[in-house]
Amino acid sequence: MNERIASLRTLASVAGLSAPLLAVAPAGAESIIKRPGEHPHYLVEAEPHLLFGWAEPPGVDTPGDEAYGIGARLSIPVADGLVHSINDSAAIGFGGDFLHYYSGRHFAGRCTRSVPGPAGTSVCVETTADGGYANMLVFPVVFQWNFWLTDVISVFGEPGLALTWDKNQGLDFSPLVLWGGARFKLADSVAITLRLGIPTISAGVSFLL
Amino acid sequence: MQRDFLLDPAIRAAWPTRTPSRVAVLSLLLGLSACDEEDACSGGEVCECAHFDDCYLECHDSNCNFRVHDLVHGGGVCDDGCHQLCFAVTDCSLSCGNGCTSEVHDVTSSGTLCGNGCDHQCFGLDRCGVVAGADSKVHCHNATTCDIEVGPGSYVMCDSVSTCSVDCAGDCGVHHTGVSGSPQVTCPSSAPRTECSSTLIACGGCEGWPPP
Repeated sequence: MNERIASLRTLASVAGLSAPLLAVAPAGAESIIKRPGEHPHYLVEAEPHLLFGWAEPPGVDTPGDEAYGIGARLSIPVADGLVHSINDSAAIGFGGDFLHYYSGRHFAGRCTRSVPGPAGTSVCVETTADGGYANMLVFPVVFQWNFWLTDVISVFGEPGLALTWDKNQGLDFSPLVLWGGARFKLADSVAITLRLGIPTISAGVSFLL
Repeated sequence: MQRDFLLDPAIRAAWPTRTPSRVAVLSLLLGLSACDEEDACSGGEVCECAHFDDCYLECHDSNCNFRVHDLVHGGGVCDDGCHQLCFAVTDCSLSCGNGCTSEVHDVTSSGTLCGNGCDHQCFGLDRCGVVAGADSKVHCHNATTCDIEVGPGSYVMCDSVSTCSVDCAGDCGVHHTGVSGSPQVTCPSSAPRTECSSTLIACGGCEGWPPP
């Protein structure tokens, strides 16, 4: 529980640090939120990122409490102007994330062989936790709804679902993963992307191709 | 690891053997390298297993330290000098080598296989089953059933239990208080059962119990 509280504090800290970035646009930034369609047009957004895992997605037992990792997201635009009066767009995102757990329940395994003991007990004598690591793969599929606020900043929400895999728990499915994030444009087709949500926080670079 | 304390051939046949690590192969597949050893559950550190339905730990090092709690099924598999604390688990188990220490409480059942020089304590549970090697010490208290098999030179304590059954493979001492009826102590022919006092039964002579 303490680890979870620590994770929540970490999340709150990151959120706290990120909020001013979202709230304060660069002095030269021009608002484009009320100009539908006036945003970068691209075939795919490729975004490699660094990750911090802090939460369990519903339906999945993560092999630890906190993790770091790397991953990438490919987002393919599918719609423009879902709300006609504002500058928004939608994409479907496919991700692949690798998380390495460094605290909590790592090393947890399943019993693969047990023998009967006295008093009707059962004693496990072989497990899948054979001195290994605690890693998890996450493959999210999300609906990304973008809001292009200025010519520098855009924000998005990403509800979705995910498949997960770790060697002890095997393949698992989460019916809900959820992120919110922001892009900060560096060049015409390059942006810094921050993403906060369940189960991870990420920071990456988006290439709008 | 000495395994001759395993009296039951089925248990002997099932004793764990180390399986080849798949870490290296998976690490390569994942584009990682050299992180398996430092991330393994190794001696000296506490490896915790909690808040799952099922969770088992395995550690092949000296002085492994397991903390297992808040599970349905859980436990550990380890080598010599291992320690396990298990509580708030429905079915807890431990399989370890020589010189293990373990404490189990507030569980439904606990099954333990340990080697020589084992020091095991179980309390606050329904069933405590232990197979321990020579020179072991087992303390079962505040339990419904304690069923214990020990090797020569071992000392068993049953306190405040409904049923205490002890099978000694040689000289041993069984201290009992608050046991419904009398403890069932089975001794080998080479060390016949002796009622030493109202609270002590021995296989072999009465001298030397409790051990220093």
